[in-house]
Amino acid sequence: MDLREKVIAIIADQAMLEPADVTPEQSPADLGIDSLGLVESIFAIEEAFDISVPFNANAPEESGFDISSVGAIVAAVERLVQDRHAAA
Amino acid sequence: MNYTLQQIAEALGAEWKGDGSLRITGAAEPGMAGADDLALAMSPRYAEALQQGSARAALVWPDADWQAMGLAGAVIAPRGRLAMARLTQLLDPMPADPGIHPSAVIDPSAEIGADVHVGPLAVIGAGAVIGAGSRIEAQASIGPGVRLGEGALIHSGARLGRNVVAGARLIVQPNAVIGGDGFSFVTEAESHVESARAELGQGSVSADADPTWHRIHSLGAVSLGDDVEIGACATIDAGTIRPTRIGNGSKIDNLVQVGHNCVIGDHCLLCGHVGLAGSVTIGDRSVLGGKVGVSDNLVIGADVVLTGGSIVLSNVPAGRVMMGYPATKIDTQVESYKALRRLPRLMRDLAASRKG
Repeated sequence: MDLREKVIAIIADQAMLEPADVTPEQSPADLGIDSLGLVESIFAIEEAFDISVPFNANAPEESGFDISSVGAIVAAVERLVQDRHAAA
Repeated sequence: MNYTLQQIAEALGAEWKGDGSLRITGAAEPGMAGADDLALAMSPRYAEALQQGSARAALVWPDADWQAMGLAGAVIAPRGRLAMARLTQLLDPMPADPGIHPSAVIDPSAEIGADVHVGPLAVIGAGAVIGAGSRIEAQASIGPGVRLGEGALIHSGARLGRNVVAGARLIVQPNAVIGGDGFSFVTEAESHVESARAELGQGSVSADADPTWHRIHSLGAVSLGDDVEIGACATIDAGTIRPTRIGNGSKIDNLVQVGHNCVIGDHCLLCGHVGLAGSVTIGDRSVLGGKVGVSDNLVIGADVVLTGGSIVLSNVPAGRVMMGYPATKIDTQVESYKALRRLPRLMRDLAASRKG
């Protein structure tokens, strides 16, 4: 399972959908994930990839971690994983 | 029921379109609606289901293309759940048999207002005053000295203790108990509980010489404002000297416990399983989610929101949103939770760096 599939599996799990039903352009709200559900998804992502997501649950737009869509989340996780490899 | 579409729109204070003379005999979910039902389709996600049912009229969202959905008429609901409030009030069939059942036991000194219904085996105590148009359902008991405003609806099996006073339109769901005695006991000398509280964090106490709990009686009853609703099996304890108070328009859900001497403001919501210890004060318009607990003698300000399962151990200023145990501001709580969730990885990293 590549990074993209893993992130989508985590989001699908929270949305109680099949990963095949989750598309990159959907937002967490489209998938029925509320703010606390999103916090849980982000913890699961942190644990799966051993990264720290700079995420502010109270002001998501200020956190520098784009959560506007599934595709944006995948891209942001890719960057964080690359940064971690670069730092190691 | 039998209304025209126009009559329903007028009762809802809503706009209607199409054939206002359509006869409506019931309400139904869009997919299951028959030809004479008003389909409840207040958001676009019901558009598809509307096609599966056979409704000719529906309650729809503001810019719905009702004609394209095959409807002959529509009532526009800008705020779906508010329309539901008014529609369900209109459709709820109230029993049409006011009168005193012969098996009801009513003290001769009780004053029963006009058009009051008292169901079988209900009991009304000495000096009670029941406001006009009230319904006391089967097996409810109304204690001595109780005063109910007009239009009360006391469902079956509910109990109102002595001297409980309520404003107009009180609704009490089955088996609720209002005005039972408070849970109030005291020892001869300072008890180990009091010393535990005074020396917070001490962790141990010594046994009391005399552990007897002396009962403090509850003489204060309960006072409820206008338009209060009390849920099934909820319990509101009587005050010690003055009444336990619940303000106008406040609604209390099933299985809520309100301790003696609490003062709850106007328009509050206490959701299922809320527990208030004694002498808690809650300001107007505050909302306590399900299973919220509040320790005794605390003050919660007006317009506070406590999220489900929060346990409040200290006073809460007005306008605050609180969460968790101990309840803290929701942003602080979410930050703490994030740190807690990251702790296992942090510990692993720490252990690895010590080895390295």
